[in-house]
Amino acid sequence: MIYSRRDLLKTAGIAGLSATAIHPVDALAEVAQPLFPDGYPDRKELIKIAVDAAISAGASYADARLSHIETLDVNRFYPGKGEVMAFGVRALYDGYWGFAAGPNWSKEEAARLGKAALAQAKANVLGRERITDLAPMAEITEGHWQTPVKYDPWRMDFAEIADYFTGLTSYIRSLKFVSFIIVRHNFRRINKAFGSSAGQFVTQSLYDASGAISFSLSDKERNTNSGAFIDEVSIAGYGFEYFRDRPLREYIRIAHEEAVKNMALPVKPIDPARYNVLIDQHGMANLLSQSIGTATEIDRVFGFEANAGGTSYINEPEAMLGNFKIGSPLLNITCDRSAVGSVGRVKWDDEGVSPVAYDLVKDGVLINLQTNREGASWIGDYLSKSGQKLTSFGCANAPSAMDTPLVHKADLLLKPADSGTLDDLRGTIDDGVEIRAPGIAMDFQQITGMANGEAYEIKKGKRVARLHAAGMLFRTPELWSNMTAVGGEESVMYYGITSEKGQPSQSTSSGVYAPPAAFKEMTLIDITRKA
Amino acid sequence: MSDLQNVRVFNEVEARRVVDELVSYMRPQDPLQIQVASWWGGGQRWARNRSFLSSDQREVTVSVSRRDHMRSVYGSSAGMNQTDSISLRAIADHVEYYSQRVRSKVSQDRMLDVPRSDARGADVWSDDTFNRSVIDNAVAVENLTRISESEQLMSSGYIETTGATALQYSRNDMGRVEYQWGRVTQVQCSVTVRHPGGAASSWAGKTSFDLNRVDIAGIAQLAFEKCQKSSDPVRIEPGRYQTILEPQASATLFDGLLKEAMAKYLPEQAGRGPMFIGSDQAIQRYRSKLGLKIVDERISIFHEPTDPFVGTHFAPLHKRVDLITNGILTGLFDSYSSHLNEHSDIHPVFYTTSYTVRSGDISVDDMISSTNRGLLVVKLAMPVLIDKPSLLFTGVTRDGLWLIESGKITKAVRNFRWTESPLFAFNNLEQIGPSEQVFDPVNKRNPFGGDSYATSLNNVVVPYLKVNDFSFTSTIDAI
Repeated sequence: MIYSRRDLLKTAGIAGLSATAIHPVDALAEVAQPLFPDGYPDRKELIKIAVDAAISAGASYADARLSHIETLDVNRFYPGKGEVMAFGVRALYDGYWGFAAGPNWSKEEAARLGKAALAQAKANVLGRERITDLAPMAEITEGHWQTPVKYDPWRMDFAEIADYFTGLTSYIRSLKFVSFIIVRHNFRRINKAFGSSAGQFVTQSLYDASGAISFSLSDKERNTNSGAFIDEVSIAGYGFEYFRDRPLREYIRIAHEEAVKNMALPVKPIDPARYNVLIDQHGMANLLSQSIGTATEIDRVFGFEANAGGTSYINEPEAMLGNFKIGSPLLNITCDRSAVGSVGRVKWDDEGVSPVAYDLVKDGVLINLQTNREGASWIGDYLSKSGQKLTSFGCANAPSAMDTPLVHKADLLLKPADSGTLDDLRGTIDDGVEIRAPGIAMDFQQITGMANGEAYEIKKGKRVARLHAAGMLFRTPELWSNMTAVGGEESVMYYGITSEKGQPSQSTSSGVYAPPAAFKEMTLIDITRKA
Repeated sequence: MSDLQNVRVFNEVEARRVVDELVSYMRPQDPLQIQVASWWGGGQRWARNRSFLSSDQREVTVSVSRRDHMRSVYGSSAGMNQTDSISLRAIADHVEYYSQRVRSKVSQDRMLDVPRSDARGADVWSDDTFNRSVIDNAVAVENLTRISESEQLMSSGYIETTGATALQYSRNDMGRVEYQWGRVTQVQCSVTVRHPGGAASSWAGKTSFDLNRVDIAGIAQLAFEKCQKSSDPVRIEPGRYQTILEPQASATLFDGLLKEAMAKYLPEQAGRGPMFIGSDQAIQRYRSKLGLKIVDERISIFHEPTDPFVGTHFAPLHKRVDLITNGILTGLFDSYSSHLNEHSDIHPVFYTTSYTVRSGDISVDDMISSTNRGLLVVKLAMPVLIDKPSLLFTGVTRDGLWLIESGKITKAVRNFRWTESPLFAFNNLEQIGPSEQVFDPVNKRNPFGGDSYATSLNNVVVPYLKVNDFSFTSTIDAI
């Protein structure tokens, strides 16, 4: 059976926001225990010792985390696996935070870390006051949660996984004009435990699968080349089924067909001017993540990242929340950390808060930020004024227990229109430019940026030429105000993005669910042209 | 080995115990590489004139890899508990198991017998850095934030002191065994001072191995003064300006040149890199610009391993290497295996991120006073490569940009997006000033960086530059 791209998006993949037919079973759901390594003291006991050590030395609040991260890279040439164990304790004393982390999971080390975290905090109490309020927890729970996976790569024969990717590579090689192939994949299993002086104790086993499939095409006779990138593969919260149960060969075949078509198009220079612009789902994910996701992290807004990644264009949060028009009424963004298959999916964040879905931008107006417990208290007045509870939205995250939790991006969901695909949107454009999967280079306040990728001239709803080195310059509020149309639910695609923040820098992943969109009157330039 | 649990980093004897136990579990004679690395870091973050996090972190990493011409496998594990016998045995078993099952391939990357000189590199270790306490950091931050608070400015920043050691065991396919031991410390300090309303921002920072070379109060004072000079920036037209680049800004261009263009494999791919010159029909190979003049003759870039400020403890050959001499390309980064495959006589230059650019003799004040109309730049931030053959980068200016008119700094300017190639800038040099060590911290927690041929230290000493016709393409709104 030959699928069209639209059928694929409807029936397979992780296009929809609900569980789709290919992931029916929570095969490991009955495993109620986290998959921690054997031979170490009880996790709950370790955490209790660490937290008690900090509290008995005078901390007003303390929490402790254990993490055991396993990685698996199954390839023909250099297979391997790794694991990292960490134990981190955070203590609050007189408004100042202290943190201590190490690799040992022993009772003596737990007590040492608890005391060390408190000592770190206490060193800062030198006369001036720092007020740290933690927003209350909705509930104090105990429990375990696990990413539902169908095929756990750690329980499979590695040859089976290796063969699958060898087959996939061979298939790509069999296609015409293909000259250079990249097929990468990685699996990760994160076992973690969290406990705090408030009594919370929770454990989670989180899986993710990541990969990249791309290939270049070159037609030596006509001296032209092109490339294809499979947007359907990024980083997501699945096991091996992320690859095996999805019609990857169909995705590849369709992408190859498109690339061959594109290769026949003439190449033109871009004439710098204002254009109607069409951006695909992958590009929308990049744009949303950088221009809105990063800018609404509450620690950036309040200047805590000024010396690292930067600050935000949301410079007066009290005045801007509920009022600031960030875009057209078509712009409705929800933050969520429970979407099935997303890499950001958790039951509890790294402060033990259970995240809930909430509106970040409604009808183009900024109405919330991404918060942790401390950050939520900074906008407490706004939360109560707008009739919301004073709680964290659950965005505290850290790559492992070796790092302190910071506010990291939740998954962003852009609300689609009733109907329409990328092809439909292109059909409505009489004269414009399509930019495919643009990379985004933004400034350190996420206010001005440049998007560039493969660009195509569109005339009467069709790609007619490739544009060399075209890039879109934009200001964030202008960009989103100029959004004239978004695709429908069937065109929504998931894309997982990894980003960095903090000092020392931490890297985490989150997902974006976005339809394609059309923009009017955007400035396009030749990015390689100097002043 | 529970007695190893209470140390911040392993010494050579402790690391050797772990390595030797691991070796005993592996099959004899097979080529093998083992690393036991340990790391400690003490960090202090502050923002809005208050410390908000002090941290103390330790990490241990054990990794085993088997590489020969038929099979290659790795296994790694972090966590000091992993150095108990059961865990070490598990890593060894895993690597042996996989190496039996992995398919064979013909590798270009054999584990070769790398000759090493007996001379050791500089000892990039400072006890003062390693013994820095959280109380010292807290007091330093308290003092510098009190100053900015009293002037109604917002200070934020980060101080980190780290120490790391690693022991690397390698046994090649001829059975030759070698232990390599190394240790490094690093201190980094960076300070951003902002106007509370966001009308001005500036930055200063430094990294070194030695705490005594990083003057925390001085860095804070510099950022503070620059912020005061940056208030109410005006918009001016983008275009080409005579531009004075402070060392932090010129480091972005030097890094761009070294990281994106100086690898030997690049000119060997037709059209891929700016050092590609053409293909030689006679020897059937692509030719690079080695031996040709590529930048202004006042520019010389070299790596001197015995100088602790730019040196590295880990370079396999502790020899000075010259990358660019008086503007002439004299070295390209290479790997030892590809060097051997070619039977080349030219001495290979291993990848390094530590380098020195020779100082010029014009002071920065002279640079400013001799400028009729131009710009002074603190940082060229967020560089993105947009065209490889011409090495064209784009990025933004950040934390300090001023207009110079008739030999004087007259006003602060709103930030620009810049689009420029280091090759253009280094061929349009007006003046070259004194070289300074810049802020370029390493986040890796293993001093070997996971690669026996590379060093993971970034010790970069680069000069002030005055460049003609530097291209600023658009204004940006961020301050």
